[in-house]
Amino acid sequence: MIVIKPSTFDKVEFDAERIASYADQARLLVDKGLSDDESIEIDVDETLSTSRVRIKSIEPIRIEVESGALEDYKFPRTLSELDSLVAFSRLFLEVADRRRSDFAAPELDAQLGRAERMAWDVNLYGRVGRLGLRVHMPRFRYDFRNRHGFSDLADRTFDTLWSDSKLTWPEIADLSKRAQDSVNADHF
Amino acid sequence: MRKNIPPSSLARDSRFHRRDTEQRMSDRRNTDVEGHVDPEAEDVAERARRRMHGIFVGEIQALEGAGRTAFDFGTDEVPYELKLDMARQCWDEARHCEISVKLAEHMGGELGEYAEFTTLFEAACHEDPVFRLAGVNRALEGLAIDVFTQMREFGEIMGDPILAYCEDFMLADEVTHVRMGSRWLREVTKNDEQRRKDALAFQRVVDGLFNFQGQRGEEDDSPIRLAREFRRLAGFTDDEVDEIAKMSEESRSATSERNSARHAFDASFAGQSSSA
Ligand SMILES: [Fe+2]
Ligand SMILES: [Fe+2]
Repeated sequence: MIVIKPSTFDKVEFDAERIASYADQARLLVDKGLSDDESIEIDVDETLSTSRVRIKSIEPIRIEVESGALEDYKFPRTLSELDSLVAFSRLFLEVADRRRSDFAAPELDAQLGRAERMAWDVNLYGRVGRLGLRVHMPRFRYDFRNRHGFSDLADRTFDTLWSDSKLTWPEIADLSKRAQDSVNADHF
Repeated sequence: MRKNIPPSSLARDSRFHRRDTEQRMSDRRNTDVEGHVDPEAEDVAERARRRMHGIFVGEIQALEGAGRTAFDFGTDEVPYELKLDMARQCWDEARHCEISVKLAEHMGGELGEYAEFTTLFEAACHEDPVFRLAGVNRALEGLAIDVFTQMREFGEIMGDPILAYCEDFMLADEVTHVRMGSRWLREVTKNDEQRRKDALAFQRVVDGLFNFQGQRGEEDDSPIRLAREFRRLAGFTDDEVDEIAKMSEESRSATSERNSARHAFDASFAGQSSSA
């Protein structure tokens, strides 16, 4: 059962049924860690054009996305199938990670540093790409560099995070920390 | 060759998707967050990338606008030196296009990833060349001075020398473009006080449109910070910069209620969300 809130949109030309069907496709793509009769609630904030996403609850799954996360930037305010699939797949992969005890995820309400949050994102989006969805890797490399330095070490760390599907949270956090330690910046 | 072409006839390949200013302004979402390149924001890289794409299409239109202004008017309408300045500007803007393409790629962007808003070229379509100089060279390239200064700082803060240097080079050119606007506005209207007044009123309209709902200001945390020193170098008087700050302040108080709701929302996201 997938519920989209709100059910109709005023500021964007989104259709709740289509969003639900993209979420369902993403659930099938991610597969592991999610069940067929999963109860999923998706809150879409149509008042903001930015594209942040977050998980509010794991059992049952409750996620929140800003309208930009589902939007086709080429045609502002319209729904993008690919971007919706990418956003939901990334969120469901995180849900699956959090449900695995051997992944050892931080608590849902833990305040993660921007850099380690970014490191986990890189790993998630790399895996989204391997599900067969188009993700533009240079975009994530730039995002990662902004939180880990524009350096060879940061790039090598990115490559590991992007390509290794088997990393656990302690390993991701450690990779992030070592890259951060090599540059002395306070904005990470 | 046809003179005074409309924005709809700008030549673009299939990667580009054009939107006019009216369509841009009809977005009733809060779009000012996406324009705030705040190093503290978890999605700042995405915001910077989006802004870079906006700069890139702005550079193309600045090239097209300056080229048109050099071509659309004869020497009976504008001084020959003004046409030469516009030609010189084309050379700069062509270079900025190339720099911006490379920067957009450096920032992980793709050409045409975002819609192209044609606002700059629209301002370059005015039938009076003096209005074009006021609306494009003074208002919009004045805005470019503010934005480039801030992007340069962002590059410095994030330890990204490529962004910082490129913005610095482009900023130096933009100061000269605004200067050209200031110079020719003054010289061409020296015997026509009313025309100057009307052109400056047009400049205020364009400035008002791009105060980004009051985001421009001089405080350290202003989403778009007025680069007073560079504007002074470009021929702006202190009174003119004060006026932009005042207009922005007025539209800021009109949107402050909504912004406090936004800040509360942002705070609730800290450390938990990521950019999709
Ligand atoms: Fe330029
Ligand atoms: Fe310029």
